[in-house]
Amino acid sequence: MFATVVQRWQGGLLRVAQAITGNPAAAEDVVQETWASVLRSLETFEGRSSLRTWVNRVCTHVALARTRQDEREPVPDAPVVDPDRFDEHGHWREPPARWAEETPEALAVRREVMECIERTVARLPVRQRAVITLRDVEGFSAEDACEILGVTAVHQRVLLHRARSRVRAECERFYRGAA
Amino acid sequence: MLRCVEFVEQVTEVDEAVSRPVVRLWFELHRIACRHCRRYLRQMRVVRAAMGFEPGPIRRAAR
Repeated sequence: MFATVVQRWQGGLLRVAQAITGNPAAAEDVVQETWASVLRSLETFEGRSSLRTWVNRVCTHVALARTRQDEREPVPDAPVVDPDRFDEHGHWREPPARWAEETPEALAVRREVMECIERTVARLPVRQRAVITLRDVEGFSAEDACEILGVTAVHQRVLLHRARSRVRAECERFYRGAA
Repeated sequence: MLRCVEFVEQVTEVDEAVSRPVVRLWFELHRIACRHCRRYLRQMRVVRAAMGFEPGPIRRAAR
């Protein structure tokens, strides 16, 4: 039973741990420590969230503790799109560039773009990295992401908005460069 | 009326279905009227969806 759970969730935990630590070797250690911690404290699991959410929360806490970064790093208040791209009326002066791939399926098989996304995610502040990985890569709900990261719904959305906007911006930069 | 500069800041709130009905209404009206913001919104959604696909480098990385 436990071996099946480990096998099923190991990949997702490694991705979350790697997103936070930015290091594959450290991610392996984090996941190992996560399972050990889960086994030690399984009796404290109260069932208020799913077991998968709870295990990911343990993993996230172990990984954040290893990054030695301030968990309460401030979220920048700056606009997500450069204000110079809008005119004095708030309309686009420099509109979004057209992309060669305009469907998720097409984008997902364009290796250079996906690598660009991966690089961008890796450079995001740690909590933005964690939230975009949990939501958009691992498919957790907003509620679960809040539970895992221990943040409010508003904070989670702010982090997610900034992370997604940054990734889109870098894809746009990629396509401008490729044009 | 929502402006483009405000539209781009509302995308996640709208996609997460937490925006107020009046904001959602202004957002939809703006989306219909502005092809640049339609493209912006489409790109945000395309990137988000592509990140969850397999196979992809992001999902392969930890295997």
